[in-house]
Amino acid sequence: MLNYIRAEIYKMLRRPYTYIALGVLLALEALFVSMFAFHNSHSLVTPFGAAIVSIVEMGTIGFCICLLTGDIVFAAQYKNSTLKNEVSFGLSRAQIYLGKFLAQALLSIVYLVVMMAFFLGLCAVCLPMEAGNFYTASEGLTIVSWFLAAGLPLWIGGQAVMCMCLFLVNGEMASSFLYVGIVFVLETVIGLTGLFAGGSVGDALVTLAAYFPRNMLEGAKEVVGNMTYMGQAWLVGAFWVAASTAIGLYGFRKKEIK
Amino acid sequence: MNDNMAVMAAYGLKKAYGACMALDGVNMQVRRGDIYGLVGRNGAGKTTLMRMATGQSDPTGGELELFGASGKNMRLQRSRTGAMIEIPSFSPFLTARENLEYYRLQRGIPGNQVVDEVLELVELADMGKKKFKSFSLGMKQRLGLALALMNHPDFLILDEPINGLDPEGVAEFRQILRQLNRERQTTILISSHILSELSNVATRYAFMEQGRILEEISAEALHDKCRTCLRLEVDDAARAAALLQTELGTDKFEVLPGNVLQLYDCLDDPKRASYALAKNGVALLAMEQKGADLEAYFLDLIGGGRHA
Repeated sequence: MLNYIRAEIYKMLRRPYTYIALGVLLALEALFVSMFAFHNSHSLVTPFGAAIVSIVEMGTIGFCICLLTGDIVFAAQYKNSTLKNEVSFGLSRAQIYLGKFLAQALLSIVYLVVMMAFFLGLCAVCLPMEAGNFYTASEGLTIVSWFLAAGLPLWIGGQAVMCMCLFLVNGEMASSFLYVGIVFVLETVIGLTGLFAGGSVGDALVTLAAYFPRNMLEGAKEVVGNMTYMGQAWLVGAFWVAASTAIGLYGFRKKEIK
Repeated sequence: MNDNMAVMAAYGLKKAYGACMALDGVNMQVRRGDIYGLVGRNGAGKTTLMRMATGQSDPTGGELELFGASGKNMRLQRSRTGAMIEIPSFSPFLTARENLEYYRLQRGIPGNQVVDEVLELVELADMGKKKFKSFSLGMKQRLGLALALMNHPDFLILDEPINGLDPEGVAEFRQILRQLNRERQTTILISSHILSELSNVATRYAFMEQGRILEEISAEALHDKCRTCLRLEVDDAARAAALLQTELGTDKFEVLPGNVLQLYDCLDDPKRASYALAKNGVALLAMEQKGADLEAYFLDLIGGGRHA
């Protein structure tokens, strides 16, 4: 498995896509911070502590980044027919699937670390530390740390869903649509159905929708610092990783490699 | 390993795609040291068979063995094989060297000099930064062969490996196969539509049609069957045989059922044979010169005029 992951890292480091995608995300962050800096130059002061807490409002972007990191690692293996090179050497389907998933998760974490370091660094350089009536730097960092710790398992859960979609559906476009459908649309459909249905079935559906990763992350904003909720977030994330990996692996084992 | 051990064996192997039987009870044995040529028309089942051997597809019936292992144990034996099935496929955004290095790391093959060695062998060592997506078909075939050879396999599975190669490339490829077979005792399963090329390297053949093996035959036996001869149909084969020995002084003939003799002598002067028989009262009912190459033999076997 280590060999497999090492090979995936070798490949992703040689893909321009890896750097271009990260570059675009960092540029968007720079643009975001520059807006705070611009406002600060016109009297509305947003200090470091307040600016970094805005991360809490942008957690959903993490699920969008799963699309990118999944695509970077999977590298259109069905379209390029490269899976046959792996299968024909005797690598097990489980090894291939889990190797790809772990590489995707690793890349997501690297992206997260680089993006957070860049964002916090840029905020520290461009924005004033004096808090005034806003969050102090230390308060802001505490909130962000808690949110990232609660969000990480949910994003990894999203990555597992993306990995499942890539393995089960031929074509990156189709698998991306499936991923968006599961992570962004399905929860809304289930939740609304629950609201319309009412009664115990409706309650069950609303509860089910609440355990979708994006809803869990949205809920985290309201309970920053609540360690019970963080525990739930890790459990829900672990469930999504386990469930999507089990389904994806089952489907991939049955799949003919062409 | 025992020389007679089957490197690959199929017993009643079946593969169905819906109602279509791609393989219909294939029985075959590729023995150690064979260069085993698979001959068949498009859709005969050659690629399906190779895809099963490489784990890309599962059989719907029968059994397949690699190095004596079947079922789940067979997967582990695949690390002893090298394969090139259909058109070689690699990551388009990587160079030849990067693609091979990626698979070397993935397969845990020690020492990165092996990448240079195989690139040298297939003459792709000086490709520089050219990405796979810019490769010609011939270059892709060479890189596919390089990957198949990278782990020094005991068993090579090659599906149409010379497609897209120029004549020089074909000759080099043939040389590489012979060298591997001779020096490393690499067993090779190979399919090709270019039967003349296949007949240059194969030591054993299987002829496939509609998912079945019609005949498995050694190169020597095929050579014998394809030898040019005079086919004589007479009224008394025993007397004719005796006359050929006494009158023409030859024993290079075979007596076949139905009062037929195949004479491998007098090919440049068939009249000598007919005269000797007629002079001694043996009626010559028919005489024709017969001979075949691999292609003609195959076409004769499948009973059609279409090409492989």
